[in-house]
Amino acid sequence: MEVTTDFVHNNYKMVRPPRREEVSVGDFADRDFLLAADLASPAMSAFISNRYSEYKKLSFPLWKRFKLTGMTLPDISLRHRTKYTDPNAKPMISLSSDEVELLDRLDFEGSDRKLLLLGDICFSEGTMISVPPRKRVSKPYVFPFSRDSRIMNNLFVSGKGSSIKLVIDSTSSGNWLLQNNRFLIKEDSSVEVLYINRMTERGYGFSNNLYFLEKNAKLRVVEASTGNASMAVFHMVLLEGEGAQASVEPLFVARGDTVLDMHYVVKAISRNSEGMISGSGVLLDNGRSVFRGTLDMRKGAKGSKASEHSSVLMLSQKARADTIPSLLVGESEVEASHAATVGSVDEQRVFYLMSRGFSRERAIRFIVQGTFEPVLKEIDKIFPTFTEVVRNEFAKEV
Amino acid sequence: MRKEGLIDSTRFDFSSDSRYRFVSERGFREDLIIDVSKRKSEPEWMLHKRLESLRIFNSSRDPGFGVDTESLDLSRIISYLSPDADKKRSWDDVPEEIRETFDRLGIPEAEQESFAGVGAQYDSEIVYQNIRRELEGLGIVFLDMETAVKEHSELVRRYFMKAVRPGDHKYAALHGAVWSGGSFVYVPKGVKVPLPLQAYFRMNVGGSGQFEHTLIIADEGSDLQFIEGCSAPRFNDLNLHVGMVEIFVLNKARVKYSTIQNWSKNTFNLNTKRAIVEEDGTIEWISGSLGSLKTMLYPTSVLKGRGARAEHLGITYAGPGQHMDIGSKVIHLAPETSSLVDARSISAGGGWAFYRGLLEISSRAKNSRSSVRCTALMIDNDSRSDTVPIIEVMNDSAEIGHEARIGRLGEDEIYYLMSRGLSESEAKAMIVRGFMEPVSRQFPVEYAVELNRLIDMEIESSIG
Repeated sequence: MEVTTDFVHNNYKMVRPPRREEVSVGDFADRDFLLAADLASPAMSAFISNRYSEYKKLSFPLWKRFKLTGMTLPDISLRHRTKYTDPNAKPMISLSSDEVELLDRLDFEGSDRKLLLLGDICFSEGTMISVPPRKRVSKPYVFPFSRDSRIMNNLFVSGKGSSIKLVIDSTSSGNWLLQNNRFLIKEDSSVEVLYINRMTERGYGFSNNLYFLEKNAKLRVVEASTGNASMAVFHMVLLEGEGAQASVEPLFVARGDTVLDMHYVVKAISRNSEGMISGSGVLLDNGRSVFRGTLDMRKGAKGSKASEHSSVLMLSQKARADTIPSLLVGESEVEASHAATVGSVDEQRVFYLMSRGFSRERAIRFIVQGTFEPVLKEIDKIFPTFTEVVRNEFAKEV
Repeated sequence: MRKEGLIDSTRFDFSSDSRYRFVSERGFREDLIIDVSKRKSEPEWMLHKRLESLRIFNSSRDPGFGVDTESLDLSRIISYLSPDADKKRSWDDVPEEIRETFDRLGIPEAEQESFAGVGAQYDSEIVYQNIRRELEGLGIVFLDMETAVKEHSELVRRYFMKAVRPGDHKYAALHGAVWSGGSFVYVPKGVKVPLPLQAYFRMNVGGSGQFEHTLIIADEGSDLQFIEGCSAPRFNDLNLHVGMVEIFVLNKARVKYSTIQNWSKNTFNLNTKRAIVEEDGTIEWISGSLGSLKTMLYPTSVLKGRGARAEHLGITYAGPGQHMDIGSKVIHLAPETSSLVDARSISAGGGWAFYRGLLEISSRAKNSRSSVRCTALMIDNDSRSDTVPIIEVMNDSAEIGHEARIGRLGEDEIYYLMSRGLSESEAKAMIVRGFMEPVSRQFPVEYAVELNRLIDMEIESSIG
């Protein structure tokens, strides 16, 4: 399993923060899990039961910044037998033993192991997409969360030299959702993903994502988090192959009593890889953001470059922004940096716009939209059919 | 002949054959603590404080972060060693073998040249403490803690372990139970101390612990510079240093607290330093952390009054076998407070430098400003350098900036310097000195020179 951070160096180890347990969350019983193995292929059935034996031993996490106190898990729904017309797609529940082996290889901690395992076991919908070598799919695959699909578990494989686009849109998905997405991005292939986290109801959302990049593979992730649910979002990029490149660009707005706890990890493992994390967000009302960006430059990643940047605009006295950038470096021949800013709207810019005839409110709105604009422009280009949806979300929020 | 410096490590690695008046049994037990308190003829309240701290210590857990302390067996540590010497105001009266130790460390010589006063601690007790008579006349108090507990009982009682409480963490509790030695400083209203005060701490016995307590009260509008240095010879047994520094900076006062830490590389350095800063007060922490096997140290500034300021400038060197978990904490509690953190680390020869920081802007700290910069230099590829600053902002009128960068010794720079006639190690040392310069220049010049020389030696030995 790929742990998020390993606390060792040569003969030294560091004290691992103890995992605290939230005991107020009622867990599933054994018989709920009989439903989870429904329709499963033999390999998948073995996978689910392995995961379940680990799952049973863990309690839900007690987090300092995002409380799960009193959370109710959704009912496990029976799977539908889905038919796919697309030759590249198949249901996760019917994976072959080779494919399950890949699933095992792409194992990770997620924002918390318990939640990741829950998604691996209890998914009500799940798709494996495998794009053949050199095939370029220009139309994005779209995964909407429907109201009764509250747990989703996907596996994506892009063959050598192929390219693929994906949109994972969690609109109107009730008050609880969980998704696990794993990506194997093979040599010279390219993957572009847009996540839209916009649950309308108050509740909980969890998203755990792992990206494994081979030689010269390219990844681009854009994530737009708005909506009313508190979320724990986790993305881990493994630059395993030489020359692999990844960028992760989150945009977020937290309002009401929403907590957005986001963790982005880029591990540079091979030579000459490049990673970038760049986030910007706005906080309203009692909104709270936790922006964690971790750059992990592993020994051997010579010539690699990585950067991380986050900026948060606070538009309410009661908002709270936590920023935890980590720069972990075990290789001297790298370039790595991070930068973070937290602040309010620049009064001079507001004044300037007001002198040009804007009302104060419009001036602030203009400045806020300006912070999102560069990434929104990218969305225009890569996912033109979704640009309006995302732009509306941000216009509505602020 | 080159003038011997203050922190040249070859000068530290000697132990003296001293006589001790009393050496406590190993470990931390209630009866040992009661006995030591009696020997110090402490007031009742202090014994209570010790026993309360011991109770907290016995029920506290290890910190859930930082260096691994598995190899540290606290039951093996000698907590109290009283040298066979009384506190003196003249070096001539200090027993010869102890005086020799401090002579070799250059303390009496430096005192004459550049300090307003010096305190010297040998194992658990201060053996020498003196302040220039004319400064004493201004009402400045500079005493060993034991004497202060008796002579300034009210003042000490009001402030002792109020910035850091025994319940704060396991090692604060341990300190509260067994503290011994350290300095007490009181600077009266409006008094500006013209030269720095210095405290020097020396451990001379393997397997022992040093637990000195430094308490500084800078009254309104006063100004003080305080410098501490520490060293020990290298032993096979582990040594433990659990000191504590509490600084109270009252309205409009300023305290600059500089440390050069050069414990031998068998020492666990688990130290706590905290300053409470009132209105328009300023605290400056200047730290050079070079020695020890493992260190956990996060000097903390609590900006309690409107307009209070904090500056944290630090250099950490993690050489072969060293794990240095060092950082800073700044808590902004009042409006218009500001802070600046500039943390630099150098890791070489397999060392591990870990910067851990916390910056908290509370909801009341309107219009506060803070800037945190972390820079790390890796000398080779066997070392490690990590930076994890946590920033928590709870109001919408603060301006916070943070940046961190990892650097390496650029081939081009080294090549250029070598083309000018420098050897490779000289070139590397020069680049490292340039990297440290913004922090090292904050030290008095003797210290800065020695800091540079020490780093040169470390670099040379680690790149061999």
